[in-house]
Amino acid sequence: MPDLNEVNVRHLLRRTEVVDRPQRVAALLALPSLDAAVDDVMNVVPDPPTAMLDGPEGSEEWRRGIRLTDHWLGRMATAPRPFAERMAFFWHGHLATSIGKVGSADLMRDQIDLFRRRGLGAAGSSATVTDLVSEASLQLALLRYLDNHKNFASSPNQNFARELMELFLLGVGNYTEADVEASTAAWTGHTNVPTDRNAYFFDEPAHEPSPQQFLGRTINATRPPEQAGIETIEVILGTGPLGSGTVPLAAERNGGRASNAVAAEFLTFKLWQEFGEAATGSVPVGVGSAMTGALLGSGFQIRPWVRAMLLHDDFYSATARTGLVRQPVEFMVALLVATGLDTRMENIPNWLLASVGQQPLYPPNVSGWRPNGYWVNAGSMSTRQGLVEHVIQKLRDASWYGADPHLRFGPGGSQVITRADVQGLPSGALVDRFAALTGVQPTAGALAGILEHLGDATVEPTMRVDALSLLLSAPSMHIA
Amino acid sequence: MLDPDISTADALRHLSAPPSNDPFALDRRRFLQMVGLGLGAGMVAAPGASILDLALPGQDPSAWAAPIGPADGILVVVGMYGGNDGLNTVVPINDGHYQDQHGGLAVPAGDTLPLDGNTGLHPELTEFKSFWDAGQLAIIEGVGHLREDFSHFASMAKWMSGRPTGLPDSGWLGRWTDGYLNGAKDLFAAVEIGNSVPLHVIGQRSIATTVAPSRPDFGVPRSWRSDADLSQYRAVRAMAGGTPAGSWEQRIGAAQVDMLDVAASLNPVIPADGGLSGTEIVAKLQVAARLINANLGIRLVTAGFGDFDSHAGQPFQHGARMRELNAGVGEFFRNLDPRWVGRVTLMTFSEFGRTSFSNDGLGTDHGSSAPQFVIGPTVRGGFHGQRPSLAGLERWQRMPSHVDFRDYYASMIDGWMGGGSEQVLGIGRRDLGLFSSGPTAEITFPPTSIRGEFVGIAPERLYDTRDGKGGRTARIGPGETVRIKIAGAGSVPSDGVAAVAVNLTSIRPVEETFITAFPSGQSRPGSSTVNPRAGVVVPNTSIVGVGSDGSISIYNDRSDVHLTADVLGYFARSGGPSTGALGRMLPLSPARILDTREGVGAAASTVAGGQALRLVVLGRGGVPAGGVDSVVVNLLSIRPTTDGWVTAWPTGAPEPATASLSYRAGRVIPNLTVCKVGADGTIQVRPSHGTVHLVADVVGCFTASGARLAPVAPARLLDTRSGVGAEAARVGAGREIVLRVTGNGVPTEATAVALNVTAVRPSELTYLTVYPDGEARPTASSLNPDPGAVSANLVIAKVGDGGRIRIFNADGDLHLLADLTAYFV
Repeated sequence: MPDLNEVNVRHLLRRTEVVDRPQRVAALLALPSLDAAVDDVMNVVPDPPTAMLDGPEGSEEWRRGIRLTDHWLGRMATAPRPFAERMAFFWHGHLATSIGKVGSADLMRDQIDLFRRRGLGAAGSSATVTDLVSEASLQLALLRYLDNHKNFASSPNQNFARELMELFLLGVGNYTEADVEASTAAWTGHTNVPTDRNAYFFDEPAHEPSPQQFLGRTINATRPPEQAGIETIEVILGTGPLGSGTVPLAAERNGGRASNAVAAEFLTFKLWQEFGEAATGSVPVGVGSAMTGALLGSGFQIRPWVRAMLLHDDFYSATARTGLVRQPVEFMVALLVATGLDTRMENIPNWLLASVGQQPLYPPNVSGWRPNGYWVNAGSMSTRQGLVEHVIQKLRDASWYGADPHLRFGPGGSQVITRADVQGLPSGALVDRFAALTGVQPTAGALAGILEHLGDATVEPTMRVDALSLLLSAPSMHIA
Repeated sequence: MLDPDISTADALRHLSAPPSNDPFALDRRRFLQMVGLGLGAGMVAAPGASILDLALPGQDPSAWAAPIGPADGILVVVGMYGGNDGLNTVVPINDGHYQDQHGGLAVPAGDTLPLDGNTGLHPELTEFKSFWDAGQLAIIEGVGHLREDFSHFASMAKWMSGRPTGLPDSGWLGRWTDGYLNGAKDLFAAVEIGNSVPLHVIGQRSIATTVAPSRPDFGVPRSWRSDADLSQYRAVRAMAGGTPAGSWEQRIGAAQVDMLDVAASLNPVIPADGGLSGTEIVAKLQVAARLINANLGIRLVTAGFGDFDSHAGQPFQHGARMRELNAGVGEFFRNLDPRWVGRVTLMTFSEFGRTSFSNDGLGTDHGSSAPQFVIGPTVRGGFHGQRPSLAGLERWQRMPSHVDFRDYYASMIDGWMGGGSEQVLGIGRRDLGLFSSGPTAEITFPPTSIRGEFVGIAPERLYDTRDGKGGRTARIGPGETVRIKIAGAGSVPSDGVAAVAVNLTSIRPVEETFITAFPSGQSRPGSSTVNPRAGVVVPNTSIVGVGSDGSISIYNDRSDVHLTADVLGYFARSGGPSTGALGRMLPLSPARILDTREGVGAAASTVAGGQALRLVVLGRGGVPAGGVDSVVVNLLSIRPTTDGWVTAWPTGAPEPATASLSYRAGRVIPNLTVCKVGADGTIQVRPSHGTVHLVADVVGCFTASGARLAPVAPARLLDTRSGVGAEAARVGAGREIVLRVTGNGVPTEATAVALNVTAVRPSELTYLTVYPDGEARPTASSLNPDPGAVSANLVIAKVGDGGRIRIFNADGDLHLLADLTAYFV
């Protein structure tokens, strides 16, 4: 059991709640053990509020999608325990779906809400990967994104059935083309009502009736036809009456192994890359076996799996603590919290998120976003700098030049000072003050750099802005 | 004319900002190293690993970019996202089925730009029309994938991957880059102008570098607080230096330092927001041209725009897209340095065409095949592929595809990019034969064979669109290119003419435009020769290389305009030793030999219309006392009482019906002219109307012992709007630009250059003096631009110390351009 200490608690919070907000750090440190701290982080509300999509400025789907995004990012920044929102963002990147193709903010909300409510599950929840993927697979967002709404017995479309195995559950090389064809047949008929493209409909006459051989099991034979698709998920994960399938010997990898073991490793790798580290390209044996064991031992329940990761020593290793770069959405949320703009999302235009390359609801393709190195280059840093400058501009607009003499920082703008409080401060004291206000602690290297800029004397107003800008863009700010 | 070391020279020229403005000036290698730490092409990953997760520290980036080879082509790929309506792009004007099925959306035949009897281009595609007229536009009809798919997503995946089926794992251009680099590291082999990397430039081992279509500025002093900016950048560097070795923090810090360096380096190459178009694709292609000019080793540039998905409201939407495409392509080639024109081909693609039947909403739905465009210097202009028939189509039937999109790609790879289609696209692809040859490294005349000796003639009018002289009686339209036959016309012999000295006069266009004169058969350069202004007559003399068909081409950009062309002499090809003819240029520092205000060369009084002034030229202003065939004189008309023109001709010859200079009441107008000297060593100068002061500055003469002319395709040496050749800033009063004119293809032995100097919207009336570096600035003027207007004048400039000339601006501030058209050697 890893120790309950400030380093570990901050790390736990940054990974699960995006930001190590000071009051959360204090609250967890007051608990008796790290085990209790993990329980606290996972003690999310069972039914988080959904987004209101309608508003005064228009009802185009993309505009309603922006409201959904704003709501979601706002929840990540302000929810008392935002881990469910962060976990939903993981599932959004894993079961990637773009509103650009789905064309409906309502369908996207249905899917994101599913991820938010069932992607982690509140305390006591026995939500499973099987349930989550099955429910998402019967929602039109995913069906349409992967063309299954046009998958009919008379004209099969393999897109969804293929990605379900390749990208969602098993990984490439762990099935044969025959399995793709069998699964495609099992998924025929899941489409929309002919007269309402946003209403799900199982078109039984369009369903392929013949039994299929899938990962060594006979499917589409005994269950009602609308459950044949779900049957493929159950076979892959070994959670249904047919038990686990077997990766065919004709497949490129893992031939002869149980498909649920392969799936457990595949999913564990994805979760570890999102929350553990993406620097080594592998999962440490210890935490890997703990996580796959949790999945296989619980029928692919999500909570034990996540808990196994968050309580393992490997999660708190130096490699893990330094091994993830904040994705743009995480960086944005961290900026919002530091500057008290978390409750004023309307100040953040959506195109800024697009410019930094990660706009929720618009994953680049079905394989979602990539970690770490993808975000570390001159162009990406340049657009992140634009984000920092935009946020500071908003802060200045609101406080520096406004009628309100107060400056607000931190979660919900809870840290309130007046301009006089930072006027005339020597540089060292000023940086300390900003660090306390924003909750962003500079590393020794960053502090030295900022002080080099500020010099020793009293800091001029514009230089105070620079100090804040440097603090918020320091290299450590970009580490998850 | 490509200098052996052009790459480095160009890169430095384009990448170096003035010292005052660039605290982090880098040499090219350092620059590439810095940019290299970004999303660089050429990072090589082990199978199964993401190339994007590569650890970068420890790699030697010095080999990460290489200049392109002398015969390497550059391909620019323009994506039209959303599905372009091919029928309304290349319009089958006589096809009744088209009218019937497209209904109200059909473009009326009379509105199109006619290509042949059955085809017209969308009316917005004027730039495409001029490439068509120049034989440089190929239209490939009926391109699509043979297994139809009407999903944007799936169809774009096919087009971008270059694979007709299966999950796309890589893009066709990315796989080409894989093969081109063959494991080598090169950051700038492929560039996407945009904010993210599209599939088609993601290879299995390489990925394109992204360059945003905006000027990076976090890294250069940005404001009134430039000292504080510099200090802030130092702080960013210091923070990066304080990160733990080998950590992601360190990589982030390094990327932030790169951000500063890239901004400092690309900042002078990419214009500020005001200098880039507000239209997405236009701005992207402006940036694309500048990056190619900077010679970073680019082989591929991609850029895309939309939305072409015109399910409803198509006439407005599609018209806007066509206008944007046209402007983007035009701006691209205008921004492209002429020395690169022979190396660059542009192609289009779109995920599909649209249905031939319009839908109920004045739109069209996802279709199948469509025509695509290829523009380039060695393209076989004309129609390729096969136009799909609309006969017998039912409501939901799509047009057939006759050309597999992979054959289109293979034709580009094998015809232009040096081959490799089999590795990229698999076997069995068909080459459509779109190119007559690969890229042309030499885009102008080989200098040894064309150095010309001048033969002065009494001025003759060869071309006048008002009376049909030269074969045309209509104004030249927007985007139109006309040819003027030089060889064999008038007194010009039909053989052996290398270049012509010609006075081009534009007459009363409706709005401001510009005219470019260039050798026929060559790509139109991004330079200007005459800047016509609304409602007035604007002349300019030019020395233009004569194309292989004996003609020069005249391109008019915008408004309908009448044009006259008066030939003043020609340059006869002569490769050997002196023929003894008086045809060699003796450049002179400008010297004033006539000023009727001061009594120089004539009485101190205005000259009346119809009054011929006899001007002694021999033995004055550096002109030898004998053995002179012609003089090169910049004539200046000062505040005449009315509009008119000046005619200059050799004393003893009959007065010709030509104009050496057209003047306007109350204005100061210059024009360079070349005038044969009469037997008595004088020339005649006569204004036509009113009274006027006249000034003449002699800048050179033709003798037996001077230099011969080498015409080049016009090349822009100076553009202060974008930082070419000088700082990107307006030139202030009393300021001088020092411009190196040798190098970049002009040999150091060159004694003079012919430059077309353009003044862009001076803040007040001013004059410019062009003179050799190292000499005292003479009392002479080369150009007298009006405030707020764009004006140009040919300048024959003697080359000074170190191959440099100076351009002095007297008053106000303005932007300056200089286009090289020839040199004397």
